[in-house]
Amino acid sequence: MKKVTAFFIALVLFLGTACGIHFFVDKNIKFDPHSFGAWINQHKFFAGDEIKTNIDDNTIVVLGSSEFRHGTSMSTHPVNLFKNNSMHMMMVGAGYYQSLFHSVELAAIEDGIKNKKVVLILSPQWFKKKGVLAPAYASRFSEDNFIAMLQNKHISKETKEYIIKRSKKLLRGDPPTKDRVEKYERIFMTGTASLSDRQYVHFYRKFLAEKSKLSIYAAAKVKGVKDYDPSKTYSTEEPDWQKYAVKAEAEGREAVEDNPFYVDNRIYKREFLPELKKKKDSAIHSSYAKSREYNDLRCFLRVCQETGIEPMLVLQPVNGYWYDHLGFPKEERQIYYQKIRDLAGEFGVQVADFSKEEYTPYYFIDKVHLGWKGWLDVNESIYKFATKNEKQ
Amino acid sequence: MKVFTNLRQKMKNSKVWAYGKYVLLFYVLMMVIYGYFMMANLSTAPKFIYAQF
Amino acid sequence: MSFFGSIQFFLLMILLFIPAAVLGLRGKSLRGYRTAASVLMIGLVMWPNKEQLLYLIAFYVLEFVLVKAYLKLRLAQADHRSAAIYRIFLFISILPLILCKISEVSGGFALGLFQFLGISYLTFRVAQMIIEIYDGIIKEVRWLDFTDFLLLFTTFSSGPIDRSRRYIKDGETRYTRDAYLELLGDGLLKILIGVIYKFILATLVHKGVAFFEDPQSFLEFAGYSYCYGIYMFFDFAGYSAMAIGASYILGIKVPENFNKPFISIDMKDFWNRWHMTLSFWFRDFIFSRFMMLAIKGKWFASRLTGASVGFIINMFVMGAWHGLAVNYILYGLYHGVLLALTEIYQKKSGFYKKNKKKTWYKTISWFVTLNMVMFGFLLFSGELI
Repeated sequence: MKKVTAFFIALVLFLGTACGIHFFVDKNIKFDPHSFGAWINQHKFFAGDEIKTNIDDNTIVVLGSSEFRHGTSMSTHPVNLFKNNSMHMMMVGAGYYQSLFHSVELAAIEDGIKNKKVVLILSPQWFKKKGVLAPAYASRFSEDNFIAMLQNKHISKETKEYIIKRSKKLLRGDPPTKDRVEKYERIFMTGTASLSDRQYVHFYRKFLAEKSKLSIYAAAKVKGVKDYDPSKTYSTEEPDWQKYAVKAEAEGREAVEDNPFYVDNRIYKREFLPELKKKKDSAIHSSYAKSREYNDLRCFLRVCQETGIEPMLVLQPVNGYWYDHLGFPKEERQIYYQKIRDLAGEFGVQVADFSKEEYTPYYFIDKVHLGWKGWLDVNESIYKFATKNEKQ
Repeated sequence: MKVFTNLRQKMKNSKVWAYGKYVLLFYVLMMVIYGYFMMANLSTAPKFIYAQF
Repeated sequence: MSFFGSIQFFLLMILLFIPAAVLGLRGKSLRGYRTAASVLMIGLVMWPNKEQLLYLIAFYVLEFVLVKAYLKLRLAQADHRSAAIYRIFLFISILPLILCKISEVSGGFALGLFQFLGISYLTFRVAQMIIEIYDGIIKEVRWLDFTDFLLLFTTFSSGPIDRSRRYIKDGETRYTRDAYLELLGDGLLKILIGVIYKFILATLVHKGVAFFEDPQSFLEFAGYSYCYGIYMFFDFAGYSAMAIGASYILGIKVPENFNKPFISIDMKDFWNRWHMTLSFWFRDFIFSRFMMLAIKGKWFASRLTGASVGFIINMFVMGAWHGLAVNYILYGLYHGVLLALTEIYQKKSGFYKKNKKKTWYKTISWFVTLNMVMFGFLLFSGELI
């Protein structure tokens, strides 16, 4: 007798605790916009609902990859440049987060994007022949956001089918997840799922969402993401780009010193020098002309179209000095830039085109990541894009 | 020390504890299961080593 | 859906508990409901794999016919029981399992004969009935009891291995309200503990197994063995706890499988603590039968020699039962030899007889046993091959 009633009392206490935690986290899930926006963490990227809660009228969602994490001590890195500005970036992405992931991500959070705009920072390295690597995609696969994408009524059937097809292929190294994706396909696309399948997904999504919510809260607390301060005021003035240009030049010169690639000198010594000989002319046959990534990017642009979100593509250059050393043909690079422009033209979307800056000193901090001048240009283009209608 | 042993004696004899210990036990078990499934990385994806190129 | 492996199983099982609890609390018999629930659950779990389901049905029909037929024959024989006929029926009853094991290792030939989940454990149930019919202990087999005992879904996939007479007695019990509440409370507790053992602790320890994967040095091998052994414990003890707890709620006090195995002070102690239902089944139906035949036929010079050979044969069969692969058979032989040596040592050694109760001796004995056990798991894992 004792144990059974003890069980039920404990069950009631437990459910109460779980509810209490749920509501506590819900109340405290809004963080300081700059701190949260600049936070790079997979828990955050997977928590679609919580990203939406932290998007306000002054947020610009910026999807990208590894550039966010590098150079955070530079004055022109968005973490510093926009620190006191009323415009805040919601950065989503890290290494190997590419167009397909961002298609799903955008589909999951679009109904929370208040200014109906999004920025996608393209990296040329995404456009290798195979596109995104299967294990990379599988380890960055957010099932919660994937289901949200499938439930999003604005996304067309064709787009959903494309995403499912690509995902199934890339999840071959993760059979349990692939099986669940096939189950979702049966439920949302072909309609051949059983009642128990549908109920399962309904509750499984709720579990994933709750798990996401608790995980992101715990991670944010552990990593020191700042709390929301409603009394904090921001500057509504446009940043003084000239002033930052001067800073970028000065900081760049100091960090680069005199290496021929115009990158951070410590990185030059640590990463470039040891393999200078090995890498010389190692990419003379390389190209970014044919890649699965183009179709993934096309899918992203379709998602933008279907959801009424206006995108801006940021077309980074490559580090001309390094790519020349690699022997990566100049013509191939131009083909890549043109293909992006063409694709953007096809969809009528804006491109922040920095392809002519291949040889601009201090543009990059290392072989591929944006540096002092690079971030300056990108941030200016994002600011102008985010605020353009408001200034009128 | 004696306070501790006296406390233990009181607990062993108390009727409330004889019952409450099961409530506590069940509650802890449930919280452990809940905490684990909420916080642990249950991903079955293959490990991906971020290779810089 | 898989037994104790997927959310759908747990949700359905909880749903099935509710009528069981209602019946149990009202003092009604759970037998009919339990059998129906088992058929339903097994059907649902095996439904995606129709071939397996067909083999199960074939197995069920074959074994039921065998048991009933042999019962009739044996009762007719009364005091002049024929050992030959008994052996034939016993052999046919374990033939599906033999075919299954052979087809597992033979690849192409024998298209997955009788390879259905649970056959290894179901065979024990039937073989035990035939043996006890021969012994004259079992004198009747009712269809509902047979089906209930054979197909209990909670212990279907991996045991624990129960005995028919004990089971049927539980099955017939109409519990008092208090008695059932005890079962329910204990069952719930065991299930929760089982979940933590199998899904949390075993998973965490498995990270250690993965860490020591592909061991090169002695320390790495040691690390691997320990992690693997502890992992096996939490995984299997966890499953067993869930199975036992769930069985309690359905009215059957299925016996325990584990009793703190890592405090064993010698190998005989270990097999009284690890996978107990398997160990005891083998002891009662293989080892003791062998000993009876050996003593009667005066096969060995001394009882000790007979026991040693018996241990080795017993454990060899146990190893082979896991699968006809080198690692399993080595594992069986290893434990057989260790048991034989332990028996000889304990019977003959003056040192042992003098010191066996002393604390220092027991500590050393515990430590030696623990390492022998962990090495056994290293063999079982196949990592040495």
